[in-house]
This record gives sequence, C-alpha cells and structure tokens, in this order.
Amino acid sequence: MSTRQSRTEAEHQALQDLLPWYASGALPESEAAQVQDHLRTCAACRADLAWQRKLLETEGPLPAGLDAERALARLMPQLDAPSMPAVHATSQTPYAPAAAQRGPGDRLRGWLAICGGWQFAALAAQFAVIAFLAWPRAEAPAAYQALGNGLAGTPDLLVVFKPQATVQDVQRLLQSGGAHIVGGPTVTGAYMLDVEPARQAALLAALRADPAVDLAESLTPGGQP
Amino acid sequence: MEEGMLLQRIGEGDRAAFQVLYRAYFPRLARFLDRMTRNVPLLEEIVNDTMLVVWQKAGSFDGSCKVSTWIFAIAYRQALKALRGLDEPLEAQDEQPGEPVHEPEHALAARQLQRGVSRALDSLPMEQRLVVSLTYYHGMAYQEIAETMGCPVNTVKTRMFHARQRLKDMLSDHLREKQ
Repeated sequence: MSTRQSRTEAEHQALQDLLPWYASGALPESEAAQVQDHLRTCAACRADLAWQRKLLETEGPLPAGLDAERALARLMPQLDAPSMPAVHATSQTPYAPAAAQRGPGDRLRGWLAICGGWQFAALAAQFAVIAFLAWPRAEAPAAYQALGNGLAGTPDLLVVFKPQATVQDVQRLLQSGGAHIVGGPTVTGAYMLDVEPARQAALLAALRADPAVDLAESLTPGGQP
Repeated sequence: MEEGMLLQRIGEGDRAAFQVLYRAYFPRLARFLDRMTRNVPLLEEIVNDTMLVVWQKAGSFDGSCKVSTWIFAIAYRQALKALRGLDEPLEAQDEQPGEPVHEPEHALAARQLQRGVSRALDSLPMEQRLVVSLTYYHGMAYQEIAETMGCPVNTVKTRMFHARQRLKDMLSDHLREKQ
C-alpha cells in the first residue's frame, strides 16, 4: 500500500496524536479515514488504540455529596436579580460565587469580611444576632468557604464553639487572642479566624483549653497539628 | 427538546426550559469541574455561576458553535476565576471501602484501572487533565476543546500528547496487564 511506503515518522506522529479522538468517535470523517488507513499498517498505533479504548471506559463516579436539586433551588431565586457579572472576582477576592453575594449567609460573610477593623465587641454581638437569623438558610452558602481561599485573606485557625458558649465567651477569647473572624459558620458550625502569626500558638492553646470551645485547629501549613 | 431550541426559550425567559437544561448539564459540568476542584459546595456554585451566565446570555448565543461547547467554555472561565491561583495537584479521591471478595476478577481489575487512571489524572497539570477529561469523558472533538479552553487546536493536541505520555508511564502496570 502507498501508505506503508510514504509513512514518515512525522505522519505517524500526527496520526497517533489523533488516536484519542478516533477512539472516542469525535474525529471528522476525513481524518478518521486517514487514521483507519494508518492503523492497518502500524502495530504501535493499534496497540495504542486498544489502550485508548481502555481509558475511555474508566469514567469514575461523580463526586459524592452533589445535589443538583439543592443547587438549582439556590439558583432559581437569583434569576430575577438584575443582570450582573456572575462572578465577582477581584484581585482581593479570589472567588465570591454568584449565590454567595446574595444569600443571607453570604451577606453575613461579606459583612464579616469587610468589618475586620471594627471594634470586636460590637461585631461579636451583632454577629451572634445575624448568625442566628441567617442560620436556617446559611447551610449551603456557609460551605462555599474553601479553607485557604477566604474572602478576607487566609484564615489561620478554625474554631468550633460549644452550643452553650455565650457571646461573652466568644468575645473574651477573640479579644484576648487578638483574633477576628474571617469566615464561617460552615455547615459544621466552624468559624475561621485570622490572627497575627506571633499569637497563633498562644491563641490555639487558649482555645483548646477553654471550656466554651469544642474544637480548635491550625489552618496554617506550619501550624500545630 | 433540542438544546438550541431550549436555549432560545431560555433567552425568552422560559424558566421551565432553563430547569430542563440545568438538570441535563449539572452532571456533565460537575464531572468536568471535578477535575478542577474536589470542593463539592464550590463545585456546585461554579455550576450555578455558569448556568446563571447561560440564563443571562442565552439570547446572545449565535449558534456559531455547539451549545455544549458554549456552556463548557463558560464553565471553564468561571472555574478559572473561582480557582485563580489555586492550580495545585488535586488530592486523590477517597478510596472506596473494599468490596466483598466475591467481586468478579474482571470487575475488580476494571475498578483498579479506574482508580489508577483517576489518580494519574489528578497528578497532571490542570490543562492536560482537562483535555483528557473532555476527550475521554465528554466526547469532545479537539476543535471543541480548543474553543472551550480558548486555545489553539495544536495546543490541545500537544497537551494530549504530554498527558498520554505521562499516563502511560504512570499506568504501565495496567498497560502490561491488558496487552
């Protein structure tokens, strides 16, 4: 066959490059015919094709925990909102999902993010009230906060307060540790804290020792386990 | 209903048509985005951001490419914005608990290969990983992938070439078994 004679390494390479799309049936007819022709004379490409077909069958399951209906229910009310850029990403905010700017939980989070400089006593008291009001609908938005991808910078510590913890407890712990809340509550009720590096270890120890705290963990790479 | 028709209706403000398209694309987009992030809530939000753009821009779709290519391209851009600066290797997916020992040998081998491929894919640079995913698991032609990712066709082929080399190296045991 002429193909055998004229096959150069370059041609072989070009046709081998197309094998994944030949295997998936996504090549235009003319290219598929060329590949087919080449396959008759090229054992290496035949073996490669067999391997490509194996790979095509390896589609894994969807990630656990996805819920299309839940996500759709969150989205539908936003269709009425005036058209705006769906992603409000800026250099300061690596990612603020569309929903995140609109749900009560995320209004809370956005509010928290810009209120870092406020007097914390006032913040904590208002936070408690708003968190309570937002709680029933805060479940999903609260979970958008990817650790290490916070809106107001990278959180340093994660803390879960006990249910019986009071606003005064939260206020006392955060004020004494020089920390402020930059995210949360997550679905598990955790808050992300920002604290000066020099004070992280002391605050972590204090949180862990405090009866109002259920769990405290460092989120920084060099932090205490 | 044909997707182009759905999109036209969505452009006219038809919410029912939007829900049909949403439900059809949710698993497809989730599978695609799963190669970019393992954060399920974030993944759902990127899908929502994508579909919100679809809702807002459906009227301007000009039919110059497939509806699926248009939607995946939106998803890709939204995901890049969402994950800006975070192109880190994906954490390997959790291993499923061991199945009963009476699982047929061929099924076990297939599952092992699936896990091996998934782990190998996770270790590829994101662009290569996505080209592989769009090719193998979404049936996209290389031209469509180029449109989705906003890059030249040759770049798609080059990414696939490097991805294949690395997959071959990483999966050489599976490869030998199958030959």
